[in-house]
Amino acid sequence: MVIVDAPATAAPAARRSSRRALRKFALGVAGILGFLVTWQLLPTLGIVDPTYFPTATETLAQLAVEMRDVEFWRNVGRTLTAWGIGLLIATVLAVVLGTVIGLVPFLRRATHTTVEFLRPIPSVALIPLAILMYGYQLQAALLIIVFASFWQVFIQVLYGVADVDSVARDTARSFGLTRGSRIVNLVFPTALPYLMTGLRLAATVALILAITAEMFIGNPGLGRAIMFARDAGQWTTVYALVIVTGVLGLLINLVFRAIERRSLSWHQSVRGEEVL
Amino acid sequence: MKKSFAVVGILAAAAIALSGCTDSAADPSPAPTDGSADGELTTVRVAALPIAETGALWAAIDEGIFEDHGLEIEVVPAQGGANAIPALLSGDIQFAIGQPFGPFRADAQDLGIVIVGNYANSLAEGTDVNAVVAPAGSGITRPADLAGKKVSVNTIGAAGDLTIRKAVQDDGGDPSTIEFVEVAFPDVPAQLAAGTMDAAWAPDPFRGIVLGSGGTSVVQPYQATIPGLAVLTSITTQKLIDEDPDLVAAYSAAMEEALDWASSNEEAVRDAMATNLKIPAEAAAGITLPTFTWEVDVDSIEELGALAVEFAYLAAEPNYDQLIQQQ
Amino acid sequence: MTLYTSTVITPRKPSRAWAKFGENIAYALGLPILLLIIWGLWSSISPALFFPSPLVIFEAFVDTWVGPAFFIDVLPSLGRLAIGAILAIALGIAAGTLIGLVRWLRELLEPVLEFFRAVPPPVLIPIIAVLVGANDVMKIVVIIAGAVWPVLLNTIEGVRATDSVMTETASSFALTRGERLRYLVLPAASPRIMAGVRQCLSIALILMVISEMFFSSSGLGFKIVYFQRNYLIAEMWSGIVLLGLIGVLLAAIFGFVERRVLRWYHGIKEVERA
Repeated sequence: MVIVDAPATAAPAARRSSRRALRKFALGVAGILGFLVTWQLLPTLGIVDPTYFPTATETLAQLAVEMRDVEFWRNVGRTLTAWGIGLLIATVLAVVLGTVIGLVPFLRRATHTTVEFLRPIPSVALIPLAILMYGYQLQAALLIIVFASFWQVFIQVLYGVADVDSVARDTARSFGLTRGSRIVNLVFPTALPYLMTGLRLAATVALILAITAEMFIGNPGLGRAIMFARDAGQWTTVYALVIVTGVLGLLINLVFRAIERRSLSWHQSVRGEEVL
Repeated sequence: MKKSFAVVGILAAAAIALSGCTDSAADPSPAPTDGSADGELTTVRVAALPIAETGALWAAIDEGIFEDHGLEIEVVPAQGGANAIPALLSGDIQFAIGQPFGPFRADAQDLGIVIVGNYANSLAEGTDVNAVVAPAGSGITRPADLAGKKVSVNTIGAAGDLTIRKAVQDDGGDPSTIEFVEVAFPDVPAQLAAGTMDAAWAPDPFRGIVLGSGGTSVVQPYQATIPGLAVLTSITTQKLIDEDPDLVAAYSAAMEEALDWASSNEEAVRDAMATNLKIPAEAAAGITLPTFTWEVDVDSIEELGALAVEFAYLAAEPNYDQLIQQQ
Repeated sequence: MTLYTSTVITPRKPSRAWAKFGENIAYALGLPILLLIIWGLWSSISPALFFPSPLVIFEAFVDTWVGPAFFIDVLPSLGRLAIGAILAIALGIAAGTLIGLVRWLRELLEPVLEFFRAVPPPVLIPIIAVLVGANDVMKIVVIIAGAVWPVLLNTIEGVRATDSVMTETASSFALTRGERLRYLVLPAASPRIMAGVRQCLSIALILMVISEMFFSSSGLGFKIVYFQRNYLIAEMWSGIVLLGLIGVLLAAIFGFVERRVLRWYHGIKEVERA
């Protein structure tokens, strides 16, 4: 038996893959730089009106000014508070309702049409109602945020609860596990990855709606700050805040993706293969 | 070792950065004068649009007039007058400064909204506080020219388009051919230049910007229809009047004094405008100020109501006794 | 021992088709009707200002939308939605295929695209309004600006993940680039693309409503805000209901299209699962 000289080929392979990773990183940075340069050129060359479309340098300078302003951080805090509370309420409601409805087939059938009718309602349609009920208070924003985020988590929990492996279920039953024990040891672990996916989707939706609510209802936060800056004609501030919202969205996406991956790591579908 | 250096370095950098921190929401006013009443100040939330007219309120707060009456005013910037009334109804704010048409509509549904006093009136002669402006070369010079054109107002179905219709009709044009579009005041210069509409109704400083780039002032609708019409009034709920009449009385007295003071302290008002709206002082100097007064001109309000019924904005005139309770 | 030599006649069960049908209807309509009844009773017992009874809302619905408002507001809104969604899907698939196939392009653009995707679409509305003007074009651009991302990113992912065995088979069969695209890459990516299209449609609906609510003088979104401003609560609710119906309709159309396009995919999954 000949042992193939694996170690000899391992080093070049490792070098190849690290070169590839370096290339990927370099290209990514080049892309960002290219985008910034294009942004800088468009108003400078007059292709777009510089009054309403400031250059990248002006915007980034304004962003630096904003970050030294305590009121900016207060606004970030307000947005994240609305986001957090809305996400929490939506998740708790969705987990409770999703588990109960998912486990009882009668309830699943009975609620199917109601869910399918309520789900596609764009929660922004409720903005006028929220304004009427709550004015500028946080509850107006929460109404919108919770309504939209709830469905994301709810549907995922329904899928998760239904996905219990039938063999495992029968095994549990033949072992005489009580209902409660079955739920804790069988249903929850199966549903957990789905819940994490739903949470990630809901987190993104919740941020979008928190900012939308601030923009159009007027409760304090980044969205309202954007509208005020627009009203005052301070377009550099507007664009700077838009960048901030993008960064927030990116951060939330990364954090929840990481959480999802960790909770999925033990899951059977993932253990043997690469996670996409 | 390296990690802790990095942490210390980051903390140091953060500390240095934070030491240069500003606070744009910090109260620009000086510390309260010793004219404040002994005992606690009652916090009152008042919704006001971030527009030039609110300058009087800001200046009066800085001057300490409201503190003298035992009130600490928290100005809640509204993003659009329409939302102020639901906020009043839900108890989120106690008072609002807004145009009289909102209360008209609320009264039509018997929601218990009351005008307790005035705030600012337009001017009966000379350059008014707002006007319909058209860009250079539009060919629109008089109200009748607006027939068949697109005219923007900040809120459709309120005093703006109503008075414009009346002005066009009085000048011999057909108001039903005007297409009204909704464009917020700050957007007017940009949208007018972009051709979104043919003419726009706007107050200063936006009117000034359009006129400065060669535009024409077509008509001053308030002055042309109901001279001296109230631009902004002080609004609250019947519920508050019933449950806390002392607060309403204190606010009314304070407001009356504030508006009186503002009418004779133009400089302070303009300074407050420049600070709070973050506009340069020259722009603030060029703004036409309204008449600040607490007395509601009931006749002109009733004329507005009658006009609203004439042009089918409202099904019936509001119940003025219930609607206007001058404090 | 007895031999059964005569034919055994089993009584034919009575047909349960009607019973099944009735059962399905009961499940479908049971909860909604129950909820409506509860709402109706509640609003007659303790009328809440902002929650009129369902009958009032139904009346308002018929009064408002069955008439000229349908043609002035609803159809143009739906038109803009359709144009925006179709353009977003076309753009997303076209750009996504290109970016997904060309590796260096993908690595170049990925960070920038991830950032743009993370920006909440409504935030771009004031910017687009001031650059393009507050008109129909603005609304369609807003819809595209928000709805293109799920399609684009999902197409990139789907095109990237083409099974290597199939790719090699295709090249050993000497398929041209175009043929490979049409018969291999796109069909293989279609499940992911369809998932992106589903998200795209719901985002497009949201953006259609928002762009009309606050920067417009006509349209479904505008009408709902108009009703709110005039405290016409029942009419406002009827607008919300109409939006819900449109959403359901969109989901139904999408489901129909998806089932046909992904017939082969669903079939494979069923076999796998069995």
